[in-house]
Amino acid sequence: MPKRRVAPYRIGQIIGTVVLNAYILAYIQGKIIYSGFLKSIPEPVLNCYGGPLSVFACPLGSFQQIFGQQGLAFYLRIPWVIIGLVVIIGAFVGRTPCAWVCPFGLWQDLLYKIKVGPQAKGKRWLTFSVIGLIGLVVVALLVVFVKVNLFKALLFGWLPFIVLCLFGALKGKMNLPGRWFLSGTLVGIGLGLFVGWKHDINLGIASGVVALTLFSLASSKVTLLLAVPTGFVISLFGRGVQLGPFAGAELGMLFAIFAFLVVMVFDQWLKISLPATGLKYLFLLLVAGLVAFFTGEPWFCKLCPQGTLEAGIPLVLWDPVQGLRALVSWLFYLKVGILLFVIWAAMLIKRPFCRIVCPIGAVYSIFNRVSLLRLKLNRESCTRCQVCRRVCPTDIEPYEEPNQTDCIRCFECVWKCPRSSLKITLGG
Amino acid sequence: MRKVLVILLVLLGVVAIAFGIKLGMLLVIRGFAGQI
Repeated sequence: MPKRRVAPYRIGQIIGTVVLNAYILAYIQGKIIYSGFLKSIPEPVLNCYGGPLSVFACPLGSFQQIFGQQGLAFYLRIPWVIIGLVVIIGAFVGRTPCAWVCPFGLWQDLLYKIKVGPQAKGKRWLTFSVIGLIGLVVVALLVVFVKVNLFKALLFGWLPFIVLCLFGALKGKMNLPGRWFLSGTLVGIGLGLFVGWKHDINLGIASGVVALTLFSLASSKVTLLLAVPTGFVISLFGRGVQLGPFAGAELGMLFAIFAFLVVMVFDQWLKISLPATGLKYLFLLLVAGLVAFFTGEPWFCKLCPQGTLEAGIPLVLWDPVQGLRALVSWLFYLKVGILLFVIWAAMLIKRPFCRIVCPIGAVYSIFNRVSLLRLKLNRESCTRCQVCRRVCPTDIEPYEEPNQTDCIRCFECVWKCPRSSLKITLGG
Repeated sequence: MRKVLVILLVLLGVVAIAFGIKLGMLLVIRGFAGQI
């Protein structure tokens, strides 16, 4: 049996995860969050600065904090230090930190190693049962520590997750959805605005972000099937606002017409769709950019699954100041739901968050084509055997274009290529 | 050509960091980042 080799980038990921989350004094000294000098230095990857173990500042969180400062001159709201740091790193190495440092990349890589689906044979049901039991333990923790209603936690948390996992056990590993449908994005944004108008601006932003993510990746039928009834329900509750002579259920009717027209125009008539991996640029510009700028709130952080994993859940379970649990509201449950969804997706698809959502990856990916550190393909010796694609953590095809935007420079394709057709170069 | 572009980008980055520090933008983050 051939000896299994630990991928070098995995060692980098583990070191990165430990170094970025090394503040064990939080537990020893009873402090909640480290707030010394190192917290002013941005790290190169997504790692929540609100976590009790975190040492450095998350560049995305800091970006939103600075960009969202209200009442200052515009040039003072531009996060110069973070932009400078990301430009320098990107110019030298492109997306390399995503592979070699990022803790959330590590979690996703490990989740993808879980054997699911028909290929896993009998083991898939063992895996399914273990996940179900872990889910029950999490529910028990929430019930005991956060006083969540047991029935609601089972019905709205554990059950949907188990149904998704059952789907995974039957279907197995999948490819990322290929296309990003602009119609879904617009319907999602419309739904968010509708919720914000009828109910509450925070609920509107949160539901809008979730809806635009799901609808952008779904087919137009799924979008209409989900959006139209949701629009009707929204229109029946909340503030009694009016649009001209329309109110109540009539507003639901107007939303249904809007959704139908958008889908017809953008999907059926103009047929506009983009690669799904381009969605992360929308998250960068819209959620981490515009929403943070106008609301002054770090809305990407508020919904970030990495933040929930490293900060939200540990802080609520630990509750060092005996009062954090009282702050738990609908947003916390939504965040846990998003985290569960990302965990489920990462078991079936290679790095879904990095490829579709991560705004930091989006910025680095722009530099991939110009960075000093890059890959070089010898097209004459390459037989397109697809070994490189199989070992690639982001499922790209290096034999088509080795320096494409989603290459995270883990170099596994270089080391595993049977004909040594790929090489690491500096500026070549 | 690529090396020139990289040098320009790095210079741009250094200038941006220096400008940011001069503006006092090395702020210490002390929040929960909206995690609860």
